[in-house]
Amino acid sequence: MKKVECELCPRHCRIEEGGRGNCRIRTNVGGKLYSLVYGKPCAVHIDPIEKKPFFHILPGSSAFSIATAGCNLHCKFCQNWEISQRPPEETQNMDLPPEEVVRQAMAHNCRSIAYTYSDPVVFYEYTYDTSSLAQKQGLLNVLVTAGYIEQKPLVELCKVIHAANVDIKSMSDDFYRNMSEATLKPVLDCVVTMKKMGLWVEITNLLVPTLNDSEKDIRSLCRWILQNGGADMPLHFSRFWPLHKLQNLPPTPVETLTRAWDIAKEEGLHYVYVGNVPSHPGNNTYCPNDGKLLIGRQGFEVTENHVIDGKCEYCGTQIPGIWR
Amino acid sequence: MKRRDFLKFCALGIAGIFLARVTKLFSFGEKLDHSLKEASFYRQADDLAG
Repeated sequence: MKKVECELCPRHCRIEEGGRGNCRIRTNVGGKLYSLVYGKPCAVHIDPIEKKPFFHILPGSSAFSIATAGCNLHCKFCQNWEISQRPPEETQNMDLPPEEVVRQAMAHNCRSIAYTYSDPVVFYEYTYDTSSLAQKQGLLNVLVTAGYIEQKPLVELCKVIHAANVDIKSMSDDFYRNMSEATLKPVLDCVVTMKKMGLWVEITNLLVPTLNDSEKDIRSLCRWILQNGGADMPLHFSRFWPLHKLQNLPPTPVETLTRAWDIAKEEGLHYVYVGNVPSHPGNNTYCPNDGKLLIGRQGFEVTENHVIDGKCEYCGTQIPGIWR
Repeated sequence: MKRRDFLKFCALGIAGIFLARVTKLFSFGEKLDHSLKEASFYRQADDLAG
């Protein structure tokens, strides 16, 4: 009976013959480890890139978005638990090999492919192969991930990825252990490595009432981003909706999101956003120099754009991002 | 009779074992999926303790 040890994520699952990894989608057959979901997404959509969320990449463009079943975290507040916390036998899967993903993305005039919804770490091989093909066709590859990945596979993946939105759920390791069955350090290391490898990185923090929404939590996160990502690394505060195992909690109050937005700007971050709250001023991008509205958004729709050649139209300040 | 019965019994046994092996070969707990993709980052764990 040949056991294997997966080295993709910090769990390092040791898997018996016929068994599965913690993610539910990697399995040992005859002493070799296989992915069960290669070319078999259970979610395929064309979304505004703002939905990922990416606010500093190709505003107003469409992202061809895919995901498979499974995840290597088990967050009690998961907003996509119906696919992330299921094995592929329990999801409706399509047959969509990498070349077909690229072909369909181009056929639908998408400028990017987003590997998202569950976590592209666990469908790594599918993400990597698709990204390699997409890159050659001039498409951007963007990840939406919890960042729970070992450094070696991460460095390889970064060679074919252009941008990532990484969830930093909390700056507390206890939070990660209790709420997500994971640990904090690999996630922070992931963000640092992505930045070193030249990826464009935006951070999302889902504010869960009573669990990670204190002023101390928010300031701690902001200070880490400032120190390790810089003032220009965008931070999105996202609104929690009661789902999965936290249906006893209320949705995040808008006041909490507004408070977090204010704190983050006070701490010195230049680009701070509020997600899942239509018409909030935190939906927009403002110039950090003259304060003018640069990109107006209503939900995921761009209503006006004053970033010209990557600069503020009014004062010429360079606005970081991928604009073409 | 006894010898014939014994031979029949052996033949049935061999057929049964053969069927069980064939079934296992094409079962993957459920079914062997020929679209499986070998994972990129793993190693053999036999040499590890535990």
